[in-house]
Amino acid sequence: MRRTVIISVLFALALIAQVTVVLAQGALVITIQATASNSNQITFTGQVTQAGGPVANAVVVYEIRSANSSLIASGFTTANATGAYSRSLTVLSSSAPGPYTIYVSASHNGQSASSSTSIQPIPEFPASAVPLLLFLSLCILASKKVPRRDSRGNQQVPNALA
Amino acid sequence: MLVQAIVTNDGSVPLNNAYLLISIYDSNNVPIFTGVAVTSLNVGQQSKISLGPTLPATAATGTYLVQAIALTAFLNAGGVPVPGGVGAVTFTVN
Repeated sequence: MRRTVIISVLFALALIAQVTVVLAQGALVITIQATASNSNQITFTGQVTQAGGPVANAVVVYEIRSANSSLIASGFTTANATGAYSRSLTVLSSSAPGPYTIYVSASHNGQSASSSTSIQPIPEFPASAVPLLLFLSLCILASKKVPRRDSRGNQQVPNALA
Repeated sequence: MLVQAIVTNDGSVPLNNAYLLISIYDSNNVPIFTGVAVTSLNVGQQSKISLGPTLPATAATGTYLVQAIALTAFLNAGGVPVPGGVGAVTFTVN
Protein backbone atom coordinates (compact mmCIF):
# COMPACT_ATOMS: atom_id res chain seq x y z
CA MET A 1 0.00 0.00 0.00
CA ARG A 2 2.75 2.39 1.05
CA ARG A 3 4.76 1.51 -2.05
CA THR A 4 1.73 2.16 -4.25
CA VAL A 5 1.27 5.56 -2.66
CA ILE A 6 4.94 6.44 -3.18
CA ILE A 7 4.80 5.36 -6.82
CA SER A 8 1.61 7.34 -7.33
CA VAL A 9 3.17 10.43 -5.77
CA LEU A 10 6.29 10.08 -7.92
CA PHE A 11 4.14 9.68 -11.04
CA ALA A 12 2.12 12.76 -10.08
CA LEU A 13 5.34 14.73 -9.50
CA ALA A 14 6.66 13.63 -12.91
CA LEU A 15 3.39 14.70 -14.51
CA ILE A 16 3.53 18.09 -12.83
CA ALA A 17 7.14 18.53 -13.94
CA GLN A 18 6.16 17.71 -17.52
CA VAL A 19 3.26 20.18 -17.45
CA THR A 20 5.54 22.81 -15.94
CA VAL A 21 8.02 22.38 -18.79
CA VAL A 22 5.25 22.85 -21.36
CA LEU A 23 3.92 25.90 -19.53
CA ALA A 24 7.42 27.36 -19.35
CA GLN A 25 7.77 26.95 -23.10
CA GLY A 26 4.26 28.23 -23.74
CA ALA A 27 1.80 26.82 -26.18
CA LEU A 28 2.76 26.70 -29.84
CA VAL A 29 0.30 28.62 -31.98
CA ILE A 30 -0.07 28.84 -35.75
CA THR A 31 -2.44 31.24 -37.49
CA ILE A 32 -3.63 31.26 -41.08
CA GLN A 33 -5.40 33.68 -43.41
CA ALA A 34 -6.11 33.01 -47.07
CA THR A 35 -6.95 35.20 -50.04
CA ALA A 36 -7.96 34.38 -53.59
CA SER A 37 -7.19 36.43 -56.67
CA ASN A 38 -7.92 36.10 -60.37
CA SER A 39 -6.73 33.11 -62.35
CA ASN A 40 -7.34 30.67 -59.49
CA GLN A 41 -4.43 31.95 -57.45
CA ILE A 42 -4.54 31.22 -53.73
CA THR A 43 -2.29 32.85 -51.16
CA PHE A 44 -2.20 31.86 -47.52
CA THR A 45 -0.21 33.54 -44.82
CA GLY A 46 0.16 33.28 -41.08
CA GLN A 47 2.51 33.25 -38.15
CA VAL A 48 4.00 30.67 -35.81
CA THR A 49 4.41 31.83 -32.22
CA GLN A 50 5.24 30.31 -28.86
CA ALA A 51 4.45 32.08 -25.62
CA GLY A 52 3.61 35.13 -27.70
CA GLY A 53 7.02 35.26 -29.33
CA PRO A 54 7.79 34.41 -32.94
CA VAL A 55 9.24 31.04 -33.86
CA ALA A 56 11.85 31.88 -36.46
CA ASN A 57 12.50 29.44 -39.31
CA ALA A 58 9.59 27.22 -38.31
CA VAL A 59 8.73 24.66 -40.97
CA VAL A 60 5.04 24.88 -41.87
CA VAL A 61 3.52 21.94 -43.74
CA TYR A 62 0.21 22.22 -45.55
CA GLU A 63 -2.53 20.28 -47.28
CA ILE A 64 -5.10 21.79 -49.61
CA ARG A 65 -8.32 19.86 -50.05
CA SER A 66 -11.35 20.39 -52.24
CA ALA A 67 -14.96 20.52 -51.08
CA ASN A 68 -15.15 16.72 -51.31
CA SER A 69 -11.88 16.33 -49.35
CA SER A 70 -9.77 15.40 -52.37
CA LEU A 71 -6.13 16.25 -51.90
CA ILE A 72 -5.32 19.11 -54.29
CA ALA A 73 -1.81 19.96 -53.15
CA SER A 74 0.61 19.60 -50.28
CA GLY A 75 4.00 20.95 -49.38
CA PHE A 76 5.86 23.09 -46.96
CA THR A 77 7.20 26.57 -46.46
CA THR A 78 9.52 28.11 -43.92
CA ALA A 79 8.70 30.98 -41.60
CA ASN A 80 10.96 34.02 -41.55
CA ALA A 81 12.63 35.63 -38.55
CA THR A 82 9.32 36.99 -37.28
CA GLY A 83 7.61 33.60 -37.54
CA ALA A 84 5.59 34.78 -40.54
CA TYR A 85 5.06 32.43 -43.45
CA SER A 86 3.44 32.78 -46.85
CA ARG A 87 2.70 30.54 -49.83
CA SER A 88 1.05 31.25 -53.17
CA LEU A 89 -0.04 28.74 -55.75
CA THR A 90 -2.43 28.40 -58.64
CA VAL A 91 -4.96 25.60 -58.74
CA LEU A 92 -5.84 23.96 -62.03
CA SER A 93 -9.17 24.96 -63.53
CA SER A 94 -9.89 21.27 -63.95
CA SER A 95 -9.28 20.55 -60.27
CA ALA A 96 -12.12 19.54 -58.00
CA PRO A 97 -14.40 22.47 -57.23
CA GLY A 98 -13.98 24.69 -54.20
CA PRO A 99 -14.27 25.94 -51.64
CA TYR A 100 -10.87 24.61 -50.69
CA THR A 101 -9.74 24.01 -47.13
CA ILE A 102 -6.12 24.74 -46.29
CA TYR A 103 -4.67 22.83 -43.35
CA VAL A 104 -1.37 23.98 -41.86
CA SER A 105 0.73 22.51 -39.09
CA ALA A 106 4.05 23.28 -37.47
CA SER A 107 6.21 21.52 -34.89
CA HIS A 108 8.72 23.05 -32.53
CA ASN A 109 10.47 21.74 -29.41
CA GLY A 110 8.28 18.67 -29.30
CA GLN A 111 5.04 20.60 -29.63
CA SER A 112 2.72 20.80 -32.60
CA ALA A 113 0.12 23.33 -33.62
CA SER A 114 -2.43 23.14 -36.40
CA SER A 115 -4.95 25.44 -38.00
CA SER A 116 -7.12 25.61 -41.09
CA THR A 117 -9.19 27.97 -43.19
CA SER A 118 -11.40 27.80 -46.26
CA ILE A 119 -11.16 29.78 -49.47
CA GLN A 120 -13.15 29.94 -52.70
CA PRO A 121 -10.84 30.33 -55.71
CA ILE A 122 -11.70 32.97 -58.30
CA PRO A 123 -11.68 31.50 -61.81
CA GLU A 124 -9.90 33.12 -64.73
CA PHE A 125 -13.23 34.42 -66.05
CA PRO A 126 -15.01 35.83 -62.99
CA ALA A 127 -18.75 35.34 -62.69
CA SER A 128 -19.11 39.04 -61.94
CA ALA A 129 -18.22 39.78 -65.57
CA VAL A 130 -21.20 37.82 -66.97
CA PRO A 131 -23.72 40.74 -66.85
CA LEU A 132 -21.28 42.99 -68.67
CA LEU A 133 -20.68 40.35 -71.32
CA LEU A 134 -24.45 39.89 -71.83
CA PHE A 135 -24.91 43.65 -72.16
CA LEU A 136 -22.16 43.91 -74.78
CA SER A 137 -23.62 40.95 -76.71
CA LEU A 138 -27.05 42.62 -76.79
CA CYS A 139 -25.50 45.86 -78.02
CA ILE A 140 -23.79 44.04 -80.90
CA LEU A 141 -27.00 42.22 -81.87
CA ALA A 142 -29.03 45.45 -81.74
CA SER A 143 -26.55 47.32 -83.92
CA LYS A 144 -26.96 44.71 -86.65
CA LYS A 145 -30.74 45.29 -86.85
CA VAL A 146 -30.45 49.02 -87.56
CA PRO A 147 -31.18 49.48 -91.33
CA ARG A 148 -28.49 51.13 -93.37
CA ARG A 149 -29.29 54.37 -95.20
CA ASP A 150 -27.59 55.89 -98.21
CA SER A 151 -26.38 59.49 -98.54
CA ARG A 152 -29.91 60.65 -99.48
CA GLY A 153 -31.41 59.08 -96.39
CA ASN A 154 -33.06 56.22 -98.25
CA GLN A 155 -33.15 52.94 -96.44
CA GLN A 156 -31.04 50.26 -98.04
CA VAL A 157 -33.00 47.07 -98.68
CA PRO A 158 -30.99 43.91 -99.17
CA ASN A 159 -31.45 42.48 -102.64
CA ALA A 160 -33.23 39.22 -102.12
CA LEU A 161 -32.24 38.08 -105.61
CA ALA A 162 -28.57 38.70 -105.03
CA MET B 1 9.17 11.35 -65.27
CA LEU B 2 10.28 9.46 -62.18
CA VAL B 3 10.25 10.97 -58.71
CA GLN B 4 12.05 9.00 -56.05
CA ALA B 5 11.85 9.91 -52.37
CA ILE B 6 14.29 8.36 -49.92
CA VAL B 7 13.00 8.34 -46.35
CA THR B 8 15.38 7.54 -43.50
CA ASN B 9 14.37 7.15 -39.88
CA ASP B 10 17.32 8.75 -38.10
CA GLY B 11 15.28 9.26 -34.94
CA SER B 12 15.25 7.14 -31.81
CA VAL B 13 11.81 5.58 -32.14
CA PRO B 14 10.23 3.46 -34.88
CA LEU B 15 8.07 5.26 -37.41
CA ASN B 16 4.73 3.52 -37.84
CA ASN B 17 2.46 4.30 -40.78
CA ALA B 18 4.00 7.62 -41.67
CA TYR B 19 2.24 9.41 -44.52
CA LEU B 20 4.54 10.70 -47.23
CA LEU B 21 2.91 13.36 -49.40
CA ILE B 22 4.67 14.41 -52.60
CA SER B 23 3.51 17.31 -54.75
CA ILE B 24 4.96 18.54 -58.02
CA TYR B 25 4.51 22.20 -58.98
CA ASP B 26 5.13 23.39 -62.52
CA SER B 27 6.90 26.60 -63.45
CA ASN B 28 3.62 28.52 -63.01
CA ASN B 29 3.28 27.26 -59.44
CA VAL B 30 0.43 24.97 -60.40
CA PRO B 31 0.30 21.66 -58.51
CA ILE B 32 0.23 19.13 -61.35
CA PHE B 33 0.62 16.00 -59.29
CA THR B 34 0.10 14.88 -55.70
CA GLY B 35 0.88 11.39 -54.50
CA VAL B 36 0.64 9.66 -51.14
CA ALA B 37 2.56 6.70 -49.74
CA VAL B 38 2.33 5.14 -46.31
CA THR B 39 5.49 3.66 -44.83
CA SER B 40 6.78 2.22 -41.56
CA LEU B 41 10.45 2.41 -40.66
CA ASN B 42 12.46 1.05 -37.79
CA VAL B 43 15.22 3.18 -36.33
CA GLY B 44 17.97 3.55 -38.91
CA GLN B 45 15.90 1.97 -41.67
CA GLN B 46 15.59 3.51 -45.12
CA SER B 47 12.82 3.30 -47.67
CA LYS B 48 12.72 4.36 -51.32
CA ILE B 49 9.39 5.44 -52.73
CA SER B 50 9.02 5.97 -56.48
CA LEU B 51 6.24 7.82 -58.25
CA GLY B 52 5.90 8.12 -61.98
CA PRO B 53 3.59 10.90 -63.07
CA THR B 54 3.25 11.56 -66.81
CA LEU B 55 3.88 15.05 -68.06
CA PRO B 56 1.52 16.09 -70.86
CA ALA B 57 2.96 17.31 -74.15
CA THR B 58 1.52 20.72 -73.34
CA ALA B 59 3.36 20.92 -70.02
CA ALA B 60 4.79 24.31 -69.20
CA THR B 61 8.50 24.70 -69.64
CA GLY B 62 10.74 26.01 -66.91
CA THR B 63 11.69 25.06 -63.38
CA TYR B 64 9.50 22.57 -61.57
CA LEU B 65 9.42 22.08 -57.80
CA VAL B 66 8.96 18.78 -55.98
CA GLN B 67 8.09 18.93 -52.30
CA ALA B 68 7.77 15.96 -49.95
CA ILE B 69 6.43 16.01 -46.42
CA ALA B 70 6.14 13.24 -43.84
CA LEU B 71 3.15 13.28 -41.52
CA THR B 72 1.84 11.08 -38.73
CA ALA B 73 -1.52 11.15 -40.57
CA PHE B 74 -3.27 13.45 -43.02
CA LEU B 75 -3.50 16.95 -41.56
CA ASN B 76 -7.27 16.96 -41.98
CA ALA B 77 -7.34 13.83 -39.81
CA GLY B 78 -5.34 15.40 -37.00
CA GLY B 79 -1.89 14.43 -38.23
CA VAL B 80 1.20 16.45 -37.44
CA PRO B 81 4.53 16.74 -39.25
CA VAL B 82 7.23 14.18 -38.50
CA PRO B 83 10.19 16.23 -37.17
CA GLY B 84 12.67 16.85 -39.95
CA GLY B 85 10.35 15.17 -42.42
CA VAL B 86 10.44 17.61 -45.32
CA GLY B 87 12.43 17.71 -48.52
CA ALA B 88 12.43 19.54 -51.85
CA VAL B 89 14.13 19.38 -55.21
CA THR B 90 13.81 21.25 -58.50
CA PHE B 91 14.19 20.17 -62.10
CA THR B 92 13.87 21.83 -65.49
CA VAL B 93 11.49 21.03 -68.35
CA ASN B 94 12.68 22.29 -71.75
